[in-house]
Amino acid sequence: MSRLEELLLKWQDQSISEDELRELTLALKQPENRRRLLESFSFDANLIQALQSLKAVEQTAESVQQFETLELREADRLTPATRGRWTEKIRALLQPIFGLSHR
Amino acid sequence: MDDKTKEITTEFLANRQRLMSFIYGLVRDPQAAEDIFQETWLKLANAVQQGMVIHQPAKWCRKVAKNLVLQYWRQQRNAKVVADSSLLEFLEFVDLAFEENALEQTSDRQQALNDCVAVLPPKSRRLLALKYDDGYSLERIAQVAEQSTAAVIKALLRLRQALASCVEKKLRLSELGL
Repeated sequence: MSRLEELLLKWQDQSISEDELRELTLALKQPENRRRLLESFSFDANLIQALQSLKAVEQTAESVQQFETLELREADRLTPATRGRWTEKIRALLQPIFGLSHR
Repeated sequence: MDDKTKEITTEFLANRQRLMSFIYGLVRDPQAAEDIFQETWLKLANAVQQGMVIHQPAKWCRKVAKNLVLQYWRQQRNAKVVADSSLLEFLEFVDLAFEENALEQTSDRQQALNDCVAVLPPKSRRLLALKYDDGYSLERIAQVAEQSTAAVIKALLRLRQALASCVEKKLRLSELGL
């Protein structure tokens, strides 16, 4: 962890003191430090993009899961077990009629 | 939209990441950065429609964005800071940093970072989200995490280094076709 990285993080955090800002500005007189500032700024922007993308993917996955749950709940009404129970009830109701017709 | 505006808009969007890095790095607020980015495009489109010939659109946009950043700082009632010579000098050095350095910005790099962030442990991802998505200050994160501010700074810097290494590794592997 270098002092420049720490100062850049404090700048990003908006918690840099006046003395630290002067120190950072002084450091930026070196071309190498300016290159590192550019990399740091770019990394921050990319990181925000990455976190937003990840959040969007997670929200989409959650919506899909909810939709699937609803679908499965609907589909559950047609599962063999449920259908079987209804079939049995209908068969029981119709038993006397079928019984008469078969005689 | 006429052909000239279309052409300049395409170039503007191709340089989006670089300009956004410049703006966000200075204002440090994603929404404010997006607003300034859009305002810059409006000014560019207006200038082109009025027949202005812009030889270096990237440089022109950065200059416009720099003025909008100054305006934003003033609106934040931070006039004391804006008047500070160190801050204005800092702004000039940031501009110089973007002027003199080429920045390798590819969608591969962004995708690699997305992948690296996605596989971070939940605790690390939470730390990043608090800082860069929710915009918590280091001090507030320290309170939430019941840590010292110095410990949070250390953790964030380590995390950034780990992510930077992860991105470079992924890009190298990708170059090798692995």
